[in-house]
Amino acid sequence: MSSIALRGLVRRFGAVTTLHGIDLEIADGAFVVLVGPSGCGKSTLLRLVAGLDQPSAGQVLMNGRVVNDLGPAERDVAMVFQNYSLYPHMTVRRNLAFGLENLRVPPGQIAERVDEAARVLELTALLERKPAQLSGGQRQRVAMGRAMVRQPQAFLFDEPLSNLDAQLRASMRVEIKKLHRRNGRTLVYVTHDQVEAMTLADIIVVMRTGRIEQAGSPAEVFERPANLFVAGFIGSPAMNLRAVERHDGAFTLGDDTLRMAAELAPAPARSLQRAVLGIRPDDLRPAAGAPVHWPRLTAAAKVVEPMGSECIVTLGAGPLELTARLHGRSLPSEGDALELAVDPATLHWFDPQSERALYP
Amino acid sequence: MRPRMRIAAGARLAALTLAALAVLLPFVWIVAASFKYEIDITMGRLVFSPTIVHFDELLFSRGSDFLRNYANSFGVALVSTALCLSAGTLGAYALDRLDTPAWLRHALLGWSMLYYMTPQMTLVGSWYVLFRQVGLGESYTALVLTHTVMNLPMALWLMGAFLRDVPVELEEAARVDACGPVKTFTHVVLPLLRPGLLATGALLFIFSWNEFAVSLALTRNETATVPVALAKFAQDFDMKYGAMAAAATLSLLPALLLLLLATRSLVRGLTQGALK
Repeated sequence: MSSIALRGLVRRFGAVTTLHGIDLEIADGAFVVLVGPSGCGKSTLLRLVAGLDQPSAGQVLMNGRVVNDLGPAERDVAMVFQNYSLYPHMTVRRNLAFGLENLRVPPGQIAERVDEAARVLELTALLERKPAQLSGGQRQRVAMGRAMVRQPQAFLFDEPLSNLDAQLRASMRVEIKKLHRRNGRTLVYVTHDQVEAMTLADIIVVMRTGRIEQAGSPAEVFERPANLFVAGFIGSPAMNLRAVERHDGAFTLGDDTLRMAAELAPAPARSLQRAVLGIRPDDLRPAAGAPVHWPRLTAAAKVVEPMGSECIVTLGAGPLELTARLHGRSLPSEGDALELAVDPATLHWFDPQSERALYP
Repeated sequence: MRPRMRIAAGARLAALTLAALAVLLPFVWIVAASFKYEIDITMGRLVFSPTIVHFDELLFSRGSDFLRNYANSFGVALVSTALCLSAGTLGAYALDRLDTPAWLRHALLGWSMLYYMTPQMTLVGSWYVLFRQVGLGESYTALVLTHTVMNLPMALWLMGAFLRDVPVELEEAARVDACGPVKTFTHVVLPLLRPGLLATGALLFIFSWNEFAVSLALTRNETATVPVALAKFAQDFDMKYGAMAAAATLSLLPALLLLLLATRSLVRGLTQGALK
């Protein structure tokens, strides 16, 4: 069991700084997902936690002890690599056992743990095969098994599902979640896929250009994004973020496409002349039956992407384009004029200068 | 197939055949000559009744040292290849994977290439004097050492190239798996380098086996290698074409075998299934 703390972690590569002073506390047993666009430093951060790389400044602590000078084995972490990194010349059994052999675990115990991991991950029939004889999904499971048998203090996953097809990815997500439930160890997981982040994490850490933009529970990051970047990054389809201006006591979007009284905005936004308004695609609802005080807009359905019980509609509203997700049986077709309304309580407001979110 | 494509395919085939003939004809000529009587060789006859008299003389006559030369060549090539391969692989690993500064890596690799480009003849004189002075003149040790040094740049560059095909992530996985640096090298890197070791080893062996200039200067009768012995068949008043051809044919054998072996390991995928 292990808690992890990062204090002012900086990593420079020559003149380039990839991490600018990262501070993060990871509670014992937490499932933490580092998410962000490629190049944001999330994998670099994971390598610092693993002990595969050294910080230029700052400290990595495990259970309150500074571990900067310890290698991965001494930190007692196990890692699943993006490319699996299975030893190609060893059988699956040997791949699973190799780490335990190095740790001088008694052979009987090694066999026991390998068989147990193979059973859980349904690898028993493949134990005598070499990695080249396995499918992508099977290799992925071997890579996970190799981490599991170690029974480490913490698991580190570096984009483990990025090489799998969508279906396998969904089922492996469940496997990883089960793994975490079963052993309750601290797990740090890197991904650029926000769906993975939302579905897996206890805590999501959103990163951009070597800095943490927000850390919080999936609900918190989704419902109360701290700034424009997080608002745009988390959520699929992405949040509609549009500039609004205040005229005569009301905020207007586009050429009066959407108009709402300034009192509907949170207090810090009311005094602003300009703001950025964020509307989640799910929060745009058909106006029929919506409370009267909800702001309304009329828009034409330009593109409709049906997805079974719901559809994603690209709306043309005056000069603006907005995305809405509509649920229900009678879905619009392209060219339809739609009357939509939005609950003012679900709107997100941002200061265009600081890009920070404005909450009441 | 369209006529133009057919013509192009025909031309390509003809060109390839010509190239193959240019390479193979001398071999065929030499191998054929080794089975001819001296008179058939001098008359340039293409049709002849084959004989193994030259092989017989070369291998079993009392005056012939050829078996000894063969053993010398084999020993020198084997030991120098082993030394060269060990030093080259470890050197390439140190330059590529340990925290060697880039300028040092480039300087060393560049220097080794420069050295490799220096004509060996320019070094023979100083080596001759040097080995005589330390009491190793005309010894196996002298020959093994010079062959090792001469081929080391080649080993360094080739093993470096093969090494770069072994993913660094595998070594990191080994580090996470509590594997020390030495065991990582012997249990993870080296097994994956096997095809590279085989291919490079075959080339180094062949280079040493064929080396003439340095061997001529640094050996005496007892330590002479096959190329040196071959040269001795051509003397001022007597050219033993038949014996020379037979010796040349025999000296082709190890190179041929090794090349077959190396080609197979070169073709085989180096790190199948390691990634993705």
